[in-house]
Amino acid sequence: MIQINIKILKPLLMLLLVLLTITTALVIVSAYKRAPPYANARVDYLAYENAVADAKAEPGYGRAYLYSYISIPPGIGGAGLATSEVEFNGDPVPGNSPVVSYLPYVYEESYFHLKGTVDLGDYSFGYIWIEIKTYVYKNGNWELYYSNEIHEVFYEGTYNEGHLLSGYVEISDTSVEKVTATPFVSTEVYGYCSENEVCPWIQGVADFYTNGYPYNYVYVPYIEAPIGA
Amino acid sequence: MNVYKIVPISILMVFVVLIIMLGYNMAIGVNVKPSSSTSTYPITPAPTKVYYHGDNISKGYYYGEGFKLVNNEWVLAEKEGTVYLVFRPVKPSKPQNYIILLYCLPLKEFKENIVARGMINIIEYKLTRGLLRNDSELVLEALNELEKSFPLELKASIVEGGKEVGVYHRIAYSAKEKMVVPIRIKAPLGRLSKEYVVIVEIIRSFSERELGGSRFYVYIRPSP
Repeated sequence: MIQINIKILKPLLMLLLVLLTITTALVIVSAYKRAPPYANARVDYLAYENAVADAKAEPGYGRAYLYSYISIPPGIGGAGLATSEVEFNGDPVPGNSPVVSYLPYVYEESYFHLKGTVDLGDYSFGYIWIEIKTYVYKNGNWELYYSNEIHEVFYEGTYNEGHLLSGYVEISDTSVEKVTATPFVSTEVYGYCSENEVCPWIQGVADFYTNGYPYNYVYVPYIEAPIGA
Repeated sequence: MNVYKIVPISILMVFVVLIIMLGYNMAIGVNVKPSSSTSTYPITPAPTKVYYHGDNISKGYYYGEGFKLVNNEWVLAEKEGTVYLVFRPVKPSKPQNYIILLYCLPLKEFKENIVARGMINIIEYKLTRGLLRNDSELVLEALNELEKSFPLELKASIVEGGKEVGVYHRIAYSAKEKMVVPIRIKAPLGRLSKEYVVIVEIIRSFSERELGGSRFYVYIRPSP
C-alpha cells in the first residue's frame, strides 16, 4: 500500500515542480514587458584639467546613474572638473515626449526622484541639477529653445526625495510650429584638492516618472497649452 | 495517460519555456535593463516626500529697439538697444519675488568652455549665500564678478523706472498683470567685434540647500 502511494506521489511532485517553474517564468516575462523601452536618452560626460577626473551616466528605465568626482594622484594637489548628464527623449527629439502646436506660452512639468550625495571639500563646488528643456520645431527641424529653461539646483547634502518641477515658458518666436519638453539631470563638480584632503565627489540616481512611482518609470514630461493662451 | 509519460513531456515544456524566456530577455534586456554595476544604491529607492518647484507665471523675452532682424537673426544694429523680459500671469497666483542677474560670455566660450559657462552657477551660489548669511562682502564679490564678465565693448543693465540699476536687481511681481522689465544693451565702442551671450538668471527661490529659477540666453550679435 505504501509502495503504491510513493509511486503516485513522485510524478505528482514532479508535475507540481514543473507547473511552478512555468508560472514563475511567465511572471518574469510579463514583468519585462511592463518596463518602458530605454530609448533616445542623450548621455554625456566630461572630465578634464590637471587632475584625474571621471564621470559616468547610465540610463535605464527612465533612470540615470550619475557620477562626478575628482581624484588627485598621490603626492600632488590639483584641480579638476567632472560633469555627467542624462537627458531623456533628447536623442532624437521629441522621442516619447508629447508635442503641442505653437502657442505664445506652454506649461511644462516633470517629476524627478533624486537619490544621491553631494560631498565637497573646502575649495570645491558642485551640485545636482534638474531641468526641463524646451525644444521647438521650425523650418523642418527640432531645435533647443535656448531662451528658456526651468531648473533646480541641489548643493551639498544627501538626497532621497521627489521633486515636481514645473513652469510656463513664453515663446516669442512666431515661426515656431510645435513645442516639446524633455527632462534633464546632471551632476557637476569642480575644484581643488590635495593629498590628505577629501576630494569632491557627487553620486546620484535620478528617476524620471509620472504616475505610480516607484513602479512605473515613465520618462515623459507633461506639457500643455493652457486654455486662453 | 500514464503519469510516467507526462514527466518527460513536462520537462521538455520547461526547457522550451526557459529557452523562449531567455531569448526574450536577451532580445530586450540590452535596451531596458538598467545597469547597476556602478551604483551603490538600491534599484528602487523608497518613495519619499515630493517637493514642488514652480510658479504660475510665464516668462520670456523679446528684442526691442536698437535690434534688427537680419537673415533670421537679431543683431544689435545701433550703439544701444533694449531686450524686454516679460512676466505674464497665467493662473491666479500669489505675489512673487525674483532676483534677476546678468552675466556675459563670448559665444565661442559659451559653446566650448564648460568652466566659463559654469561660472554663473558659482556666482549665484556666492550671492545667495551672502544674502542668507548677511555677508555683504560675499554679495559684493559676487556682484563684482557679474560686472567683470562684461567686456569693454558690451555692457548691460536692468532698467527700472527709467533708471539703469545694474546687473543685479530684486523685483516684486504682483501676479495680476503683465510686467515688462527692460534690459539696456550698450556697445560703448560703437560696434561689437564678436557675438556674445548674455545669460539672464531669474532666481525664484533659494536656501542653503537648493536654488530654483529660470534662465534665458540672450544672443547679442554684431550687425554684418
